[in-house]
Amino acid sequence: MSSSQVIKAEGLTILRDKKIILEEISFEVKAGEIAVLLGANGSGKSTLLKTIAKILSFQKGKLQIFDKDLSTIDLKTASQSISYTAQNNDFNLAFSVFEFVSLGRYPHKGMLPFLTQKDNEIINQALQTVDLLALAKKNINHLSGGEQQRALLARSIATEAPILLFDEPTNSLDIKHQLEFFKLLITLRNAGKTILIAIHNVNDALKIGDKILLLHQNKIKFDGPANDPTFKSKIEECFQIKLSNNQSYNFEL
Amino acid sequence: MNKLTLSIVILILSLLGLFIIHLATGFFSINLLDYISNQTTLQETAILENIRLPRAIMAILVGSALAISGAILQGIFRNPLASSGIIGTDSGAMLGAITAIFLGLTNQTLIASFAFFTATGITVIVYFLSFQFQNKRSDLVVVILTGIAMSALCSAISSILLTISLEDWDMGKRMVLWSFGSLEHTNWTHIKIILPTFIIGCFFCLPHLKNLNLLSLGDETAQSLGVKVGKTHFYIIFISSFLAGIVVSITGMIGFIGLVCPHIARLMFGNNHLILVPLSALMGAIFLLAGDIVVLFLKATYQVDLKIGILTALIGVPFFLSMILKRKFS
Repeated sequence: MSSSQVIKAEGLTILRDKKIILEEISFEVKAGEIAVLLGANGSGKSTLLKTIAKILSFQKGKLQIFDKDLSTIDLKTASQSISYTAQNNDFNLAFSVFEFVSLGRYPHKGMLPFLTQKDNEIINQALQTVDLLALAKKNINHLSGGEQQRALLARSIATEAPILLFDEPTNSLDIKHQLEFFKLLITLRNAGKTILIAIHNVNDALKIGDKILLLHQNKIKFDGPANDPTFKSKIEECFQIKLSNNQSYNFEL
Repeated sequence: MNKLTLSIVILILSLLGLFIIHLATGFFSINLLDYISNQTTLQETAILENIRLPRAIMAILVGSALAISGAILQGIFRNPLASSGIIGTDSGAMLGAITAIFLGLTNQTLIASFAFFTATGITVIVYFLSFQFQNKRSDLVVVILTGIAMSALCSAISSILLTISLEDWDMGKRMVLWSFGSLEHTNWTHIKIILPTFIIGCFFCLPHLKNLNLLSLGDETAQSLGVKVGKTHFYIIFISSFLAGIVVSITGMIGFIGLVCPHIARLMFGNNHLILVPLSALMGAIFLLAGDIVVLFLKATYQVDLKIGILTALIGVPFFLSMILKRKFS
């Protein structure tokens, strides 16, 4: 087994309310890789991310993080290694941006989470990475949608987790902020983070994904790089669409 | 000095000031300086030591306990309208006390014990029933709905007992008076019960304040950041019920403190529960102490016997509305 495998699933079956969501799926995500989860609504993208984040449990198979069975890792330890950013987030909170991002340090804290000098440095560094340092004292509720998404990313960075999971993070963003967000993800990937991200848009997936995991009818229908010759036909099969060969608008990342 | 430190200093000084005013307020005019220099009569010393001092301490403990109970519940429910009423604690205590009076008990400690165990029992039933309804997951909406249903049931049974008792004027009066809430008959025995309970409640509350911050982000995000969500819900609901239950059992229903004080603290100091909960407690103590001074003053000066439970609602409602309006226009 290669030690570069950060996430490894073997014959993984996940049920929710006795209904099979994913059945005997197997895949790997390597260190420093952006893996994109693609699939129609209800294909199980969110369920898979939540299972890796230990929010949901799985019923059959094996799920390993850094060659260790996820089921044997306690929640606190897992939260130090895996950062999960949910699809819908409530920003109607009386937290400053700094306080909001500082919550990412909590998995490393004991009963009373007083921030040390090192914590403050990590939080400030995370805010600087996403270009929010100037807004650190502002209420999180008063930020724009793009800024709030960057604050979520900063919280994720502040956890110092090597694995970052994102559930459709760019859904509510305009194209400029989407591109900004993807650029930051690539920066994090280049810094050695392993990223698993659920995305709806096929073009976005092609832009940022080092590999694509296409979920359809409880299975992984495609697992490989986007330039694989079979990818297009699999997309057409799963989404039941016909892809044209027209040149789409292309944006520089 | 930053805003937070300044606010804490002002609140502590207000509490101390109100504590002294509370000791000096009452039918008998007692000079506190005379007491310090041992120049008070035996009667004045007895009034001060056995009536006023326990009552003032009780006001602080009750106000703090109700405010903490409300603040932590609002934290897990992510709703500023949450208080011990929605998990059945208040109506459970009411049912316990009314049942005890109905059974002919007159001993205050026995009535309080009845009220406390019924309050806790109802909360236990609410939690475990809702746990059954929601397929073994911790869904707080189901807890609220079950709480509302159980509260309605307790209120209905209480009303039946009250209706039956109306023919016995004295019994009916005692039941109604209990429901008003008062610090009137406080003695050192009550303090001996409430103080350790309060300390135990705070001690068990402390490790969960961090989790309350994370839970404000949503249950799933909190779990991904290391919070055992179901366990935290369970602990918070029981600590809240424990604190409110013991207080309501002894003093009767004192509303609005658990709702208003955490809300004001949240508007002033934000959502960080490590700051919010202690400051809510401080505000609860100040609020109840101030309210009880008004009660004592009205009784001593105008012979008006206004119960503290009624007064907290009378002061709390306009204060609460003004805070909401202030937030709307700020």
